[in-house]
Amino acid sequence: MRKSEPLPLSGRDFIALNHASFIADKEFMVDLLESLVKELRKQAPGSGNGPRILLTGSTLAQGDYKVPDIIEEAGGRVVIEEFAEGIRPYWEEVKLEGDLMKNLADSYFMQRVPPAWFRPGRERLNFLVDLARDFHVDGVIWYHLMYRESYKIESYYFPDILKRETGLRMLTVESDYDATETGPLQTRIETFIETIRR
Amino acid sequence: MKGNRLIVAGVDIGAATTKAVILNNANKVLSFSIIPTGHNVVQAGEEVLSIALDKAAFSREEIRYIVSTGYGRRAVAFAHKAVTEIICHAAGVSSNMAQARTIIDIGGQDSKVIGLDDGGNVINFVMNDKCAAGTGRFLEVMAGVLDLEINDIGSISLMSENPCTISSTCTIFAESELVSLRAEGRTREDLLRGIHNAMSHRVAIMGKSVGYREEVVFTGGVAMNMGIKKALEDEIGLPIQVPEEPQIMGALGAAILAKANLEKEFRE
Amino acid sequence: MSNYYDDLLQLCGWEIEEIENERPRIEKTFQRLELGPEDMETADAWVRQNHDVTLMGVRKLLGAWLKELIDLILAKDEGKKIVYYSFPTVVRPGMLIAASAEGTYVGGPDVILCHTMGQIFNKLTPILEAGEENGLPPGHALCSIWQVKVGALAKGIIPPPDMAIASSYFCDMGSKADDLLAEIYGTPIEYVDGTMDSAWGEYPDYLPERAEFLGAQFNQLFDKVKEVMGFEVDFKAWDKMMPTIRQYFGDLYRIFELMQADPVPVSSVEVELASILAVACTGRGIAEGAKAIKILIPEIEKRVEENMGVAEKGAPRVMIVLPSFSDPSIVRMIENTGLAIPICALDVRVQPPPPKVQHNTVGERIADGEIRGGVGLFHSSFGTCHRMAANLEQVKGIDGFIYNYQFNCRPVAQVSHSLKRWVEEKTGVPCLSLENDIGDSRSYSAAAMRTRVETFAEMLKTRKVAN
Repeated sequence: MRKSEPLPLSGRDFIALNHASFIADKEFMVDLLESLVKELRKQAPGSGNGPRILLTGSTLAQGDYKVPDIIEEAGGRVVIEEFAEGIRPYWEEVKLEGDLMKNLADSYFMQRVPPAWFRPGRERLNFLVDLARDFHVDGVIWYHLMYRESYKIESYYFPDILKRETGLRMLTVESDYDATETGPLQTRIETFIETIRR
Repeated sequence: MKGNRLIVAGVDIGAATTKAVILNNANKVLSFSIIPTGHNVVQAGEEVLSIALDKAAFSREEIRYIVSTGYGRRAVAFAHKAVTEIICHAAGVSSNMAQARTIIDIGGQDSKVIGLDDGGNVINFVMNDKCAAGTGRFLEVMAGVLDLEINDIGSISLMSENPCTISSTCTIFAESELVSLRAEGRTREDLLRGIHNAMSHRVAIMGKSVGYREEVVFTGGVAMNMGIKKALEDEIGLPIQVPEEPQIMGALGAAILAKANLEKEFRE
Repeated sequence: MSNYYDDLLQLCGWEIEEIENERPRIEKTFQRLELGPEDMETADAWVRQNHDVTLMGVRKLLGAWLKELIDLILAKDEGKKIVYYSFPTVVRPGMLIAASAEGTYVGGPDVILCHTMGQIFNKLTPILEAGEENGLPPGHALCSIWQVKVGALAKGIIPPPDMAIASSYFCDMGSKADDLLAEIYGTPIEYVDGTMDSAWGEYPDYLPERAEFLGAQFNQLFDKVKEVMGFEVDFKAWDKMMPTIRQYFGDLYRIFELMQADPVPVSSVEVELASILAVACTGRGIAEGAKAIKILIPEIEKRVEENMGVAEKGAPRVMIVLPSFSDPSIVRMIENTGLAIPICALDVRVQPPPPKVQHNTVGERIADGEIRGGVGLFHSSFGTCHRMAANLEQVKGIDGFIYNYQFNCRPVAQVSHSLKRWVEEKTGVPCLSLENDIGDSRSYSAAAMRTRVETFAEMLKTRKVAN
């Protein structure tokens, strides 16, 4: 549903749901999500028309919602995320016929979108390009934790790949959870959102 | 040995201030002086020695041995020997307080924690000279933001009822944080206490690898700040002694080593 | 007919005929490196300041590095196929690949540049800065060795290779930088991974699965070489190579032996020239280095006989991990505080445990050898702790240990402080934990570290007098 307009829910809400699913009871969570899907299908809340954003990077820690918040305050709309703690496991399914352990290992190592420090990194970067297309995004914001070398280096050459394949622009921001970084983050993100507005 | 006009000198050329101590044959401190280092290290060394000599009423020729220390120790040609400030602080503190086993030294541009054995020798040390956040400079910058004299901030900080939390580990960013908090209307006492806590925390963590054993002695210019002393005591959970003149411990130690070297030379 | 570089090359042990025969290559190389007459003067002063040029063996070692440098810079121009590997691993497979095909250049360009542009010309900074501008920015604790490689490629100093062996043994930084190079230059990469997660206390024991895993990676590497480079890795070539390698290392161990004398006969920086040469390249550098070492050995023997050395007799003896690749003034500073450095941690030979399993494939056998006799880094950062303690127990008469670790290198930096505590408790040897950068001494210069080292030296001297 997030692939098209109108957006069923904000990126911030989706992230909250995902993070809640880590600690909530599974049965409870499944019931909640099923009823939520039904509800969202019925109504079509106006979701504004700010730029559609793919938010990616290393990990979005529970409680670290600075960046998604700033994006939405600036008028951007996060339509899909690609993070390590995100929904990677849900893009493929574990095969249920045959050797289950083997299928599980296969799912983890061969099927799943890898993090940046798996090699070569192109697999994930190609997946990002596909996501950007499938979700019709207007720009990519890449947010990683300071000193994560693999992501730092990828963030250097990925913008060119993205530009070549989709024409889209990318903003890179990084955090070391410093208390004073909100201001500089805001400046960068707001500027980026302005420059990609249609 | 040589009569009572034998004197030695220790000169500590630090980043912010330069100190000299004149010591006599009986290990008595005859005089000391402290001046800002300024831009000319050699000149500062000469001047501080002159002032101390005047105070002690001795002449330059009567100094038998000079040891220099501090970051400018190699620049002064008049020194017979240059010894690191860590060794000198240990010697200076041990001469005053035989029970000292840990020294926390916070100067203008660096901070150190030194571990001593029962003989007063250095057995372990850790030093920070890359990051301003654990140094006197940090306090200077913050005092500037709050429009206060550096000598007053310690006592004001102790009046805080509700200290701020400064979480930035970098002096530059901590300054920004301070400015924001000030704009929110926090009191000077609370802001200062936050700064003092932050700095002491930085230094205390650094010293953990050396370990804190009693007696713990606090030296360097920042030791005159009672707010830092209190915050450090809270951090390490031990009482802290501050010598009467904490700033001159390095120069004192240098003078003591000067005397020891002179005696050694004489015996040879 | 002489030229602006003749004096410097002769200082570095080149004979006049050698210079004459190679003039076009020398000039082309220096042109590409932007080295002119003023640079020769700087180099002359820098080399004399740090190295003992009264020793012909030392001069020839410097010359060996330069000869390897020329071969590296001109490899593509001269139509060679090129394979780069990265420090400090996959050296043995690299050697095997080199031995398998004539006309292939196999080497570690980053280490070669550090030792030449850094140690000889003191002009590494522009290359580091180019690395910073082209994907590895400063302030992010990214490895300087890689900044050199990326920078040198960006500046067009070294040719892009036909194949890269990305050693992601314990460093995802390195292999990711290779990803970057693949993206820009289209270089095919073969990743060689190790498993760096052995438990505390496991070293020197090891799980045979580690050798199987790493061995499988090596075998895949050999397959990839065939696919990309078009030749088979010739395992018999290993046997052909072994006599030269054994001779080189045999001579090196003789030097280590001589270095145990009191006073220590030469500076550790001279030994480093010889020991790192063997892991940095596979070609002319090693051949020339071997000759240089043969000249150096009798020179050192003479020093020992005459009781001459770089330290005072009875000076405190310290072990360090490894001297800087690009800035020998740091180790000279350590020695000038009155400390003697008889050996480096990575040069100590500790008896490896017996092999656990007989492996069938060449890859696994090489891997087994690397892990078994390994320096401990290959096990985990815990392995580093245990290995350093084992070193200190092995080498007699060491009064102190300077753990000069690469500040941003996970296997050694992670344990920087716990290693100190562990080693001191286990061996009783005082340890100085000294943060360092093996490739880039801009923030970690001799001047910056002097106070710590001097203080440690004082501590050791006091202890020595007391005992």
